[in-house]
Amino acid sequence: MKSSLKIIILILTFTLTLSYGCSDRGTNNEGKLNLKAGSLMKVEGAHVFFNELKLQIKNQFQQLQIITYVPQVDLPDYLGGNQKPIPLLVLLPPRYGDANFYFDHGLKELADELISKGIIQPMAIACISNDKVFGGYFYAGHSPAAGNYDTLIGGTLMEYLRTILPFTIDSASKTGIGGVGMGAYGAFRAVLLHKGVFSSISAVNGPLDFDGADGNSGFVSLFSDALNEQGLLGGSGSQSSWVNSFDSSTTWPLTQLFIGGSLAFSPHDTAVTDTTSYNYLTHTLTITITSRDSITDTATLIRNIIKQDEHNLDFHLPFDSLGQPYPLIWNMWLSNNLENILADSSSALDGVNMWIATSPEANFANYHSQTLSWINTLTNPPYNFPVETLTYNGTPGNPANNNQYIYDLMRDMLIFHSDNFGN
Amino acid sequence: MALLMPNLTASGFENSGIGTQAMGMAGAFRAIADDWTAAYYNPAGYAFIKDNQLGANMAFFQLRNEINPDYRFGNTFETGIFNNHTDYNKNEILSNPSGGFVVKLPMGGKEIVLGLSAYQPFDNNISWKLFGLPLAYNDTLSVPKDQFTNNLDVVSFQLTASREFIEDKLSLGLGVQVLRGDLLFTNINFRNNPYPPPLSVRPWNKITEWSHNDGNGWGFGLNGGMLYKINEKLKFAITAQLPFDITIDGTTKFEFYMPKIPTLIENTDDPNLQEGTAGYLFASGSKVVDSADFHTKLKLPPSIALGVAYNITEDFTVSLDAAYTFWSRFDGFYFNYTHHRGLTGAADSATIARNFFTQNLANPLNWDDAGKIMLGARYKYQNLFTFLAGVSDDQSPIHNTSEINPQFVDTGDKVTVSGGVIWHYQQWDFGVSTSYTYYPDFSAPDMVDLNNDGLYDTFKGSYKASRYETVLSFNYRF
Repeated sequence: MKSSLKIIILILTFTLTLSYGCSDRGTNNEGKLNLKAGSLMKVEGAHVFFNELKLQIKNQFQQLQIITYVPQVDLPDYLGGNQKPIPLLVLLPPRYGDANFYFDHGLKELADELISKGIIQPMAIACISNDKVFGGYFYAGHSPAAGNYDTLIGGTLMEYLRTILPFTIDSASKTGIGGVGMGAYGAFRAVLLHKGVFSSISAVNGPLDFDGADGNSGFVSLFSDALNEQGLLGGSGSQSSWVNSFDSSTTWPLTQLFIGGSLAFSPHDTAVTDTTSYNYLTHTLTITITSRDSITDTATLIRNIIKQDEHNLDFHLPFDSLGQPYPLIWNMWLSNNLENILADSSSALDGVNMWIATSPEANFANYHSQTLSWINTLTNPPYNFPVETLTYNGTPGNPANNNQYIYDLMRDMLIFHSDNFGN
Repeated sequence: MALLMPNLTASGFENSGIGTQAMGMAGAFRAIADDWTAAYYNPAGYAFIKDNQLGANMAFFQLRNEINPDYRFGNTFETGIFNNHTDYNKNEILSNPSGGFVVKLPMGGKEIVLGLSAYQPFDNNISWKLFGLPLAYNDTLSVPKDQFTNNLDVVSFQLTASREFIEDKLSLGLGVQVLRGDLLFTNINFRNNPYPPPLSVRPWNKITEWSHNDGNGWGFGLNGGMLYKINEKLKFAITAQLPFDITIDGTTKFEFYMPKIPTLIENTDDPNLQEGTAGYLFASGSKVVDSADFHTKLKLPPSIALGVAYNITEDFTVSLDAAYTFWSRFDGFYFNYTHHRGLTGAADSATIARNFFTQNLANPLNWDDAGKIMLGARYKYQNLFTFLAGVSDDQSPIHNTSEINPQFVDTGDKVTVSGGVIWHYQQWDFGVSTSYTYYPDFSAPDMVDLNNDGLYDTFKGSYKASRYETVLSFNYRF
C-alpha cells in the first residue's frame, strides 16, 4: 500500500469520526412541564346559602363556602355544546378546614399534573368549608347550633352543585365523595344516608369508629384527656362545678372536638320547628324541621356558654367528671357511629367503591386506630365489603407528619375516584 | 518530532494528559517523554531531549452526555426536573490549547534542560438545562438555562528543569507549577421551606434556589520524575504530581423561586400573611434575587505513576504506564458566602427569611482513589511519518454508585482508543489525532444527601456518556 493511500485512509477515518462526534443528538426539553392549568371557581357570598345552616352558630347568613376546581378541558356548553361532560368529586375538609383546605394542600396543582399527564380523567372537584367556631359538627345532625348537615351533604348541596356545574354528569356512577379527618366521617355518613348519590368514597384518617375496635377506645380513651386539657379531671366539689367550669375556648383541641360533636349528636334541645322554602336559581328548597328532642338529664349538661338569639344551644357531653362515658349521652353518640348507621342501612354501600387510607403519624384523636377499626368492620362479616386500603408512612425523606400526608394521599385519592368513574 | 495530542479523558475531571505521542499512545508516555510535553508526563525526560523545541496544540472535543432524570422527592413527587425525558448537555465543541518550549543550557559544567509550558491538567466543562418551575410555583417565571454547570479550568504554568545524573542512564526532573483555577459552577437546589405548615406543606415544602458561582484563584504545584534507561531497549520511569489547594474567590448570583399559594394569602386576615410580610413572600410566587461573594477550596488530587517503554526495533516502540490518582482528596465544593447584597424588604428584614436566603451551599463528593492503565505503540516510517496508537482503561472514582450528578458525569470505568499520525517536514512536525472514549451506561438509583445539609447531592436518573476528541498540533525543533 502506498504511503499516500495510508494517509487518505487515515484522513477519511478521522473525518468520519469527527462527523459522527458532531452529529445531532436530539432535542432537549426546553420548555416547562407543559401542564394544563385548571381554574378555581369560587362560589360564595349571597349566592350560597343553605337553610340547613339557618341557626348555625356565627353563621347568620347561612353560608357554605364552596370552591370548585374546574379542569382546563373543553367543557361542554350545557346550552347545546357537544363536548363530553365530566364527573364530579366532592371533598369535605377536616376540622377547621375551609373551602381552601385542599387547595392549600396542593389539590389544584396535583389535579393539573395528573390530568395533564392523563393519569386521571378531567373532573370537577367541589370543596366546601367546615365550621370555624368549634372546628366542625361531624357534618351531621339536625340541631339548631350545628346545622342540618344530614339533608345538606348528599342532598341540597348536590342539587346546588349540579346547578352551578352543569357540565358535570348527574349520575351516581360519575359522582364521588371523600374527606380527611372529620371529612372522612362526613363522607361516609353522607353515603350511608343518601343511597344512590355517590358511587365512590375516599376517606383518610377520621373518627370512623367512636368507641374503637374493643368498644372502649376511640373517643372513649380521650375523655379524660379532654378534661385534663382544662384541669377538670376528677371534678372536685359538686357535679355542677366542673360543668360550670367547662371552657369552650379554642385553646383546647379535644374540648373543641367534643363540643362540636355534642352540638351535633347530643344537643340539649332541638327546639326549632321550622318550615322554610327558599327560591334560588332554578330551584325551590324546602327545609322542614319539626321533630323536637329535649334531654331532661343534666349530669353533663353544659349551659349558657353558647348563646344565639332566643334559642337554647346548650349541649350534653358524652362523659362525666371522671372521664368515663356517660351512658345516656354516649349512647346518643354511638347511634351516630358509622358502625351503627351502617347496621341500619347496610345496603347503602352496595356498589360503592371504597378507598380508605390512614397514617400512623397523623393520629389526632386516635383517628388512626379508629380508621383501622372501621376498615375491619367493613371488610369482615357480615359485610365483607371490598375496600382498598393504604397505611401510609411517608416516603424516604418525606415523612407523613405536619399534614404533609394530605398532599401525598390526595394523589391516590384522585386516582381512585378517576378509576371508579370509568370511561 | 513530537506531535501534540492532548486530552484523553481521565477519571474525575483530570485531563489525562497533554500532547502527543503521549495521547496518541493513550498516555503511555512516561518512560518515553521525548518532547516538550514531558513537562507534564515526566520532567526527567527533558534531560534526554536532543533539540530545543517549541510546540503547541489545540484540542477540540465534545462531551456527548445524556441524562434521563428520575428525580422525584421521595421517589414520588414531582420536582420540576424533566423526568422521563432524555436531555443532552449543552451542545458545544470545546477547545483546549497548550504549548511550551524546551532549551538546553550549560550550567556549571553540566547541561541543564529547562522548559516553560502552559497546559491544563484539570478541566471540566458541562452545562445542562433540566428544570422548569412546577405549577405549585410561579411557572410563568423563567429559570436561567445554565442550571447545572461545571466549567472548571486549572491551567498550569510550569517551569521545568532536568539533568542527567548518570550519563545517558539516569535523569531526574522537577517542574514547579503556578496553577490558575477558574470555576463557573451553577446548580439548582431544592431547599427545605423554613416555615411551619401551612406555608410549607407539600407541594410547597421545597424552595427552588438557582446559584451561579463565578470565581478564580491561584495556587502552586510540583511535578517530579525519574527516568532510567535499563538498557538500549528498555526504559523505566517513576513520576509524581503534587498540586496544592487553590482558594477560589468570586461572586455568586442567587435566584429563589417562592411557592405560590394564592388560596392562602388572598382575602386572609392573618397578619402574618399580609403583603410585605415574610409569610406573604413565602407564598407569593415571586422571585427573590440576591448576590454575594464566595470562596471555596479546590482540593486537587495528587497522583503517582510508573512507566516502561521497550524498543522492539529502532522504529517501533511500545510502552505501558500505570497511574494512580488520589481522588479521595477532592471533596467537591463548599461555598462560603459573605457580603450578601440584593435582599430587600421582608427577605432582608425578617430573620427567618434572611437566614434562609443567606445560607451557605455545598456540592460534596465522596470519591475514591482511582487507577489507570495505558498501553501505547509508536512506529516511525522513513523519517516522514510517525504513526501512533493506544488504548487505556480508566477506573472511575465514583465507586459508590449513587454519587453522580449533572456537574460530574462519570458513569464508570471507561476505555479510550486513540490513533494519530505526525508528518515530519524538515524541522517541523505537524500532527493530527483523534480519540473516542467509551463510557458505560449508568443508572443512579438514589438521591442522596451526602453531607446531611438537607439537600440532595446526587441526581437520580439514567446516564449515557461518550467523548470525541481531535487534536491539531505543530512542533518546531531548533
